[in-house]
Amino acid sequence: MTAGWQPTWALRRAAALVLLGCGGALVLGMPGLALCVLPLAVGSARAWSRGQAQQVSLAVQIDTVAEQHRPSTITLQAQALGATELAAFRLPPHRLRHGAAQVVLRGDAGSRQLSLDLDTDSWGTQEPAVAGVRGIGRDGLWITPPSTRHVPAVRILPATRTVPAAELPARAAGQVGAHRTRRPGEGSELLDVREFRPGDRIRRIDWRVSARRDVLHVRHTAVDADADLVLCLDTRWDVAPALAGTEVVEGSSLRRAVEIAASLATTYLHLGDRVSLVDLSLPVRNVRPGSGRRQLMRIRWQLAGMTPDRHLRRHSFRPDAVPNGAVLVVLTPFLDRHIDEVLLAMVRSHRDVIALDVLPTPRLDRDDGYVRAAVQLFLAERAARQETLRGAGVVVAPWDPALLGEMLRRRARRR
Amino acid sequence: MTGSGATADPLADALSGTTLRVLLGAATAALLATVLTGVGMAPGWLGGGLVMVASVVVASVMVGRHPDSPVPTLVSGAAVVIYVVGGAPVGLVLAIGPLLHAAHVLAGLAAVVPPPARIERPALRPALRRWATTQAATFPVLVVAAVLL
Repeated sequence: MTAGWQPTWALRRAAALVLLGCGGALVLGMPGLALCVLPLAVGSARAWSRGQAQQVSLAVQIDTVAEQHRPSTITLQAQALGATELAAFRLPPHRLRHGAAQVVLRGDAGSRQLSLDLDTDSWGTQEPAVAGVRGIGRDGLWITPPSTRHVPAVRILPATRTVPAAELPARAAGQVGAHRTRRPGEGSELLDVREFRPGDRIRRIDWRVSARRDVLHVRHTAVDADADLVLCLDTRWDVAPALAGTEVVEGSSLRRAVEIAASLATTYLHLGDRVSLVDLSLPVRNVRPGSGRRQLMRIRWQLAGMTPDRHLRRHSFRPDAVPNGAVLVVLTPFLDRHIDEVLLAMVRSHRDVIALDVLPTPRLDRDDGYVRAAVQLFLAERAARQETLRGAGVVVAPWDPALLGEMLRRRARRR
Repeated sequence: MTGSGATADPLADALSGTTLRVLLGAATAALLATVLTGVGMAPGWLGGGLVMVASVVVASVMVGRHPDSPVPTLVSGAAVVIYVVGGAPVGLVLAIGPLLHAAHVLAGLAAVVPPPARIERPALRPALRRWATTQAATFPVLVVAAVLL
């Protein structure tokens, strides 16, 4: 909060020209000089009044968490404008759907409010910034010092889209969940009905069958279990921005990876499965296995903050880091051999590994022979590495919502 | 994709700060052209007075680009001095007075509104109204003075 008016060049100009006109008229005896500056002198005298010293203040309202494709608004309110004729807002550098860096509104109503929509077309984090406002007196003769306010960061969570889902393999351990197992024990899935033996629990007696056969029978069930899906993101590269200006690819690998991960997490968490997130570059962005709506929010929160980090810090998984029986979906653009080693290590630990290729579609329609040859060479080398991975048991495929479900179904049948 | 609850652009018909500066440059050019014509430099315009034209253009562009500096004051002062030195008729104040005032008000606003800023149109109405009422009050005085002097 600041106080006081400050004179501007306009005030100095008005004073100088009036002095020049009136002084010149008196000294030189030329009334025409005074007549020249008469309108300016009268106008400036009318605009001179500025009221009491101002204490312009600024209030900012913004949702720190927004959702992709959902409306979100930032509201700036300039208060105590008093006799201020204009209110000049300096907007924070957040992505806004309308507006510019600075906006000037009429400010003689005591307070003015400016509401602008955030651009939520894409997910991500908008960094914290500073917004400001200053009051402008009549004809710009006076101005108040800027009043600034901190604007917090805004995290736009990726959209939740469901994709065709397939039955994930149930965990080898656990007693609860939405999936069937073949392990006998307490559960809801009926395996068979047999005669009562000493040691059987009374509440397992099937009274209807027992009455029909005149001998006590008990229900024999299989335990329930849940399923785990581990989403691994190779966030070392964001291919399109890294190649900005070359027009070699369209789209962004990291953007695709995050949107696919958000879709898979949404789909399988809605089915009651446990989903976790592993960032192969920055473990601090990992999300431990969990289920439910809060888990989905946790995963989307971390996904919204994904930025490229060049170091592959996760080369292998501890046995307890990924649950037994979990399906690992690795989202990677397959740019180098380091990711191959990680995938092979995962397969060696007897896990189902599905590697989804998120490299945006390369453009081969350019006339530049060198670039075209380089892209073709890179794609050929990449295809050879993918073939090697397939031979080792990794399912490598481009992203297709229906294809993933089909792959899981095939693997389940093989089991 | 636009969110379903998105609000309309509150600044859809706003002016830009650049527009203000263009108007300021135009007002300055009109002021200088009026003064130079009034003091008898009109043949210069038609007779190849490119230096004069270039001076007016340069001065107007400088004022438009730097309204938050002494440049508008110097150019306006120069116009008044040329009017005095050139011995122009008193009746010229009927044109110089409103133009000088308009250039002053536009320079004052342009100095505090950066070029990329957007200005809602109602924000400029008080200044425009004040300029118009000032002219309405002072123009009869200028007319009477021009007739009597």
